[in-house]
Amino acid sequence: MKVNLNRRDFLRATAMAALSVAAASCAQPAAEPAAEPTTAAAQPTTAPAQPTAAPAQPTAAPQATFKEAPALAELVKAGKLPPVDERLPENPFVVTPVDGIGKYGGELTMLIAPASDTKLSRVYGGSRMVSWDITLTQLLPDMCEKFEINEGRDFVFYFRKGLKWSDGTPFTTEDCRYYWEDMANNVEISPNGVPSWLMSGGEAPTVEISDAYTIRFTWPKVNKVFMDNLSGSMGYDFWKPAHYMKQFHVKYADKAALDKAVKDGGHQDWMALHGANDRYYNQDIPDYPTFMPWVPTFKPPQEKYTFVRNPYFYKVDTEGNQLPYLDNLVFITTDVKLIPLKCTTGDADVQQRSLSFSDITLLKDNEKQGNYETRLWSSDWATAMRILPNYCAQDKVMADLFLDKRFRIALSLGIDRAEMNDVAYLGYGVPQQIELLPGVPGYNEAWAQAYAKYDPTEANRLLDEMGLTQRDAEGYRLRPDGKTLDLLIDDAGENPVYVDLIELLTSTYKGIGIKVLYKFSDRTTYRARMSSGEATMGLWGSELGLTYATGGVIASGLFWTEGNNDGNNCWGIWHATKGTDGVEPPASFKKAQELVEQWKLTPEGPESDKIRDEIRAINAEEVYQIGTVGGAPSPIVVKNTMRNIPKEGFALWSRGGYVYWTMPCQWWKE
Amino acid sequence: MASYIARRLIIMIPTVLIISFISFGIIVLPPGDYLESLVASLEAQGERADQDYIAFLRRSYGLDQPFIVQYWRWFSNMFRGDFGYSFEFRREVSDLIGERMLLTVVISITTILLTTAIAWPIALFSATHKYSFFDYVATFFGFIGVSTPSFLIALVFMFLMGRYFGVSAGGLFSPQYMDAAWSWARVKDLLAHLWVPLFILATGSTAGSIRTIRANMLDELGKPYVITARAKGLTELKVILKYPFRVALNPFFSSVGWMLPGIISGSTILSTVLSLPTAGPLLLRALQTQDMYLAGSFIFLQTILTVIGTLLSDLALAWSDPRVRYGKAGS
Repeated sequence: MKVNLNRRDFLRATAMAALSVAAASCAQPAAEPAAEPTTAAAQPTTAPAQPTAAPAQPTAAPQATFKEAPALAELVKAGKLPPVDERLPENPFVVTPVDGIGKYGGELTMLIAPASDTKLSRVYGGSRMVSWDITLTQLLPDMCEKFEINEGRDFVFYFRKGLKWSDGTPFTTEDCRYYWEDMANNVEISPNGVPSWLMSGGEAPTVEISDAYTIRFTWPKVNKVFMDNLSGSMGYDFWKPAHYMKQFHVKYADKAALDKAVKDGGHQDWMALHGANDRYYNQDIPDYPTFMPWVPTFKPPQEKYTFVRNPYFYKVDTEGNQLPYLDNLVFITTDVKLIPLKCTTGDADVQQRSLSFSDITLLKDNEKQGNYETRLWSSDWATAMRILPNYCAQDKVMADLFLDKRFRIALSLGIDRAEMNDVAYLGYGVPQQIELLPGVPGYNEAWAQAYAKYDPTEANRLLDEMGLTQRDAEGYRLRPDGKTLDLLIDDAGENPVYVDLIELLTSTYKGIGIKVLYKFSDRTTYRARMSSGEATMGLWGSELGLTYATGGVIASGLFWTEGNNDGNNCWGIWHATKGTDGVEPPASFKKAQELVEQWKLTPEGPESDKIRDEIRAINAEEVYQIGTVGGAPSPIVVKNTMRNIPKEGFALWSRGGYVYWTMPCQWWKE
Repeated sequence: MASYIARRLIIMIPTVLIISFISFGIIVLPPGDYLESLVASLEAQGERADQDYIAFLRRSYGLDQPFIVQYWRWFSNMFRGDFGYSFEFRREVSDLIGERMLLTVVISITTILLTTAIAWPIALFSATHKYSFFDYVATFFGFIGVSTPSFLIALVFMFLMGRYFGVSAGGLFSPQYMDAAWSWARVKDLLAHLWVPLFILATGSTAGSIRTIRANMLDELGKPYVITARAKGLTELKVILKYPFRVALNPFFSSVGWMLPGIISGSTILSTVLSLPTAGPLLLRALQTQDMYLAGSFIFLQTILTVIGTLLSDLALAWSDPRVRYGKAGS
């Protein structure tokens, strides 16, 4: 439990410190020098991973000239590459290494399952227009030198002058213009108009390019997700390597050559060819220009994917050494279920993907043999498993029962969350509802613990009060129509821990006279059954624990305002279609949906937080979704030879891309 | 005989056509298509898929066309050597299959040879020394080999290697040779890894062969012609090899045809478990993601290999067993 406390304190301290900075200067991108000592001083002992300053300070490096990897220096000597000073932007991004300055060389090996995971090189590589600092609470200018946000709807980015693609071509607003005019607004490439990630409140932005290094996006109303989209794990991009992509674009390419390329590649038309070669996200074409620390050298599928150092990478350490330290990034493919086993034999230098909490024992047991350490990083799970009554169940008796608040409360009180935590999460989790995790700014214990204490007596009383007093031969309650009261719970089959949790649920629900039937399937089947109403209950995770404190796309996860990937659709669709489709939700749910809409249009700040809290209050009061255990950490395997990787931290997809927040470009190998 | 072969060859054409149509149909049959499985896998990892982009892909991959159109596009192009386009890997299917074929064929053929070399002598010895100590040992291991799926043996093997030797089994190359060009060092590295899948594959198939041949031998050994041969004073070895053994090999010859398609998919699960860069895992992946031209082309290839294999095994049977040969000539 000690580790746990430390982690919480760490979270609280770092989040608080960063928040004060954010409050002081919402639109001020440059890291305030005053803020960093505060962050570090707050937790010098409990957070060994905490660097003495924020990871990035967009100030010029102390050296006049920069240093580079030996291999690159030789290429420069041979005249095959321009000198390092010319390769770096005028004002490179300065990374403060986590533990200290590193040495060049070595390979970083990770394991992946499907070939499509080559995109992890991009997820882990960082290189977003803006990125999160090491506390994951403050946005930093990354590829840009600075940015401005006005009224939450007007965004200006100032690029780093001299920032270059991995092939040496300068990055300018021409790359953005190409994306915006020739792709997003090209009717052949985007027949449905501007891509949806750029749409806000149904409207496209006005894009204004004032010079080669400045671009402005303006929406008529507040856009709360734009910066999250740019900085998230997927790291949306509003630029493409124009000089490269033009060879596939009908507007620029030579007609004959284009036709030939379409035919040779087996494509239907030039748009398909263009799309197949637009691999900024996937990182699996050797010549494709990128900004990542390592660039691909292969054609998929392979057993081993090698990415080599990008000579034009725009980040340096505090002593002016061009990053990354490591020569190569290597992904080795294996079956997804064998990844934990392969970690135990030391096959991965660093591994987070495809390891889950249930692997911790195996990983810990073999640390010595594999010469690695298993670190536990905080997860973002407000609740690892939320129980979703299907309000649109075809079984009308059940749907009606779910609408009775007493029934929902009884279902929540009938869960022994503490036992779930002990059995499935070795006590590392937090038994609570779908709420912020303790220590996160805005945490409210009353909401987090609303109806969250195991109380079978009260649950039984509520069920009796509802008139569900008849019992069958086995002692289960009978429904109003005389059948046994059973919950058919569907599972998308993606989280192995659910099986254990449901087993515990089955026994505690038996104590309140409710029978649990468990159906294990896959995501597609699960979703189809949920939205058609064949399933009466569903299970889904909830990644709200940290991120929705500071915004993001998450508020709609509690009260659906559209079709949702957890499969519980009818109320959201009713809202999205303004009542023409779906099923009308109860009044309190409708109120929450309105609040979500309002929240989306309110810029981040106290006003927005107030609306968010109203939504949370409704959630706590009505228990439309039932939380179980949140905050369980996620294992990350780190070889003992690896340096500059924080001991504690976060393993989140939604923000920070599992490891990208630690800046793998400054990792190095002893 | 020649007309028989010709007839068989002609019948093969409609067979292949029908099977290609049915198999393509079955690949397309499950609800959804490649893009839906793509969206599902993106979301499983927390990513969002842009519906407009998906719609764009659906159109550019021709997935919005009716089944017949898709089938015909694939099938008609195939005769021009164009097996279509793999959605997942965004490459020509023929390149993908080509890359994997060499190692696949090496593994499959070595396994067949190894199996034969081990199984035949053991089976013969077991049968001729029925209920001897050796027979019991062979039977014991044979039953284990027959009843344990090869992927399970692989998992147990990998666990033991990892647990007690700290070595990660699996794969055909060490990481440094995985993407290297062919060289003598790479071949040596391959040989150092190859024995694991060979050993595991051979365990299963050897056991099966031993059981079949032994049972057949036991049936034959008591027959009068064996006694006649012995009575004529032939050496025991000659008696066994010349007569009952040839008969006992009939099941082997009639099933040898199945080995050809088995080259591609025979060890799919094992290859997936051991992460072998062979055709099996690629086929499995293609079927899972409904990458239909890739999957379809694999299955089409297998179909062709199956019909050819069946023909070859009939011919081999006729060659090895005069009874079959004369029976056919008489009909």
